Amino acid sequence: MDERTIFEAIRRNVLAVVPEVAEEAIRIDCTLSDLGLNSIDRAEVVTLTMEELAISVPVHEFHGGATIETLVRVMRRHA
Amino acid sequence: MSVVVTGMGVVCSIGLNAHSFAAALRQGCSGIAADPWGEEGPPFGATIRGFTLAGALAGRRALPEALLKTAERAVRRAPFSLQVAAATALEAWERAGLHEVPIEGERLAVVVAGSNFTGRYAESQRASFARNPAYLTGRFALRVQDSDHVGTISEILGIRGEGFTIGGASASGNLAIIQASRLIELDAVDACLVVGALADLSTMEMQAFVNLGAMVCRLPDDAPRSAGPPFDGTRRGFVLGQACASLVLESGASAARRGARALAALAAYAVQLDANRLADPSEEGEAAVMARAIARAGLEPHQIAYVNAHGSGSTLGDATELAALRRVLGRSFAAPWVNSTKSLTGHCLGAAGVLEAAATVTQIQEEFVHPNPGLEEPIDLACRFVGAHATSAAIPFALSNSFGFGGINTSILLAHPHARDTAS
Repeated sequence: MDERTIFEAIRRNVLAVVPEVAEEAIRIDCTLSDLGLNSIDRAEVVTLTMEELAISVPVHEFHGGATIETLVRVMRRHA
Repeated sequence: MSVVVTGMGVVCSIGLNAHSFAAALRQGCSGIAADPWGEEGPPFGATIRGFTLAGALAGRRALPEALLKTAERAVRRAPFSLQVAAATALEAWERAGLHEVPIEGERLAVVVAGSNFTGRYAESQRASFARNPAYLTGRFALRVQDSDHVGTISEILGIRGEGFTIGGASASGNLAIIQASRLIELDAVDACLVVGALADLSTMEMQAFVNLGAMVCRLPDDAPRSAGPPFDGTRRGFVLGQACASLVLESGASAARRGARALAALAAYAVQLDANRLADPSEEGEAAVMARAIARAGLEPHQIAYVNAHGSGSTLGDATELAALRRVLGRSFAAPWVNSTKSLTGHCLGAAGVLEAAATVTQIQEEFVHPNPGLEEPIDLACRFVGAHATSAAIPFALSNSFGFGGINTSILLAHPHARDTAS
């Protein structure tokens, strides 16, 4: 699975959970917190994305403050 | 200290706001339909139809845009029960004028009535969990705790005083009203929002009520297609209803200070347990709470003009309630009008007490008693049941009963805001 596919899924799910985020603001170098997502929103985006892409990442591999790029890489390792 | 009702919000099978609910009560509209959950579910139910969060928020035009936006963000992905809770809370808030003449957050409380609001939501999440436990959303941990209603509603409305849920099976609604009143009487707060939350039951929970013999069951195809209304000879258990209702209870002094109109006063209440864990009603316990409420209000039985009965349609329960009423009222047994709002809305479980208090306040305000549709063979001919049509009635004082499994008896006594002027 390429990184682009994972990034697109994350972007879709950010918009599903917090529709008022501007689509163009969702860039690979920002964190979900930067986009205004609270801790529960962030967890939901990750879960929805994993389910959509049939990826399973152990919870302990996610760290606070990670950029979307880091999230994409962690997910790709388990794809 | 006087405690009055200054706000009211409703979403149920016969009305998506308090205004349409009042009209439906007057017309005797029944929300009960056949097979609302399909043929696998119970044969009758009174479900909420046509509710959308956007529609509910659009109806609250008097509220500030920022408040509606906060509400929308807080509940747009929430389970159904929390969405209707937010809708009724905002309606009650608006009606009480709390957006115009506010009360500081520390002097406001929220009490949410009922337990296990999210059975259906929990069931709906099982597929993701079964696929892979990692796919269960972490939000589930918050959502399935009933206190999510407390947190979410307090966040939307800026409530910073006390807050909790209170469970007492079908008596939860009255218990919440009573605890809210106590917070005001203790001067812990000036006003308390009471939310009778919708218990969105899972298929297993519904079936358990049927298997227990409490909820109306499916009969062979050639049997008459009727649920059998409360207090009728043909009744055969309760019909499940979906509803959420909210009330703003406020100290009389605070309402006067804010210029908020009192819709009714909570004149008295009583709670008593039967020391019984079963689903058996007790004439003694039910009579005790009604009698104590009347006495605490300083009234005589003949002064009760109307009784909003618990009247669930239970074979034993309805007969027991009438026996208790006869014991309390004595020679005045035939004096008050009696109806069961459950004949229109179904039994809304933990929300029932709040919904029926809203129905009682509406009838006190608009001076009528709503019909008992389908009640053709009343089990007690001496009792003054309202018939097939609404009847005009001045209601200075009314009782509203709620009895829960586990021997939880409650009765509240609601009064017209000017009842004391005429009674004294």
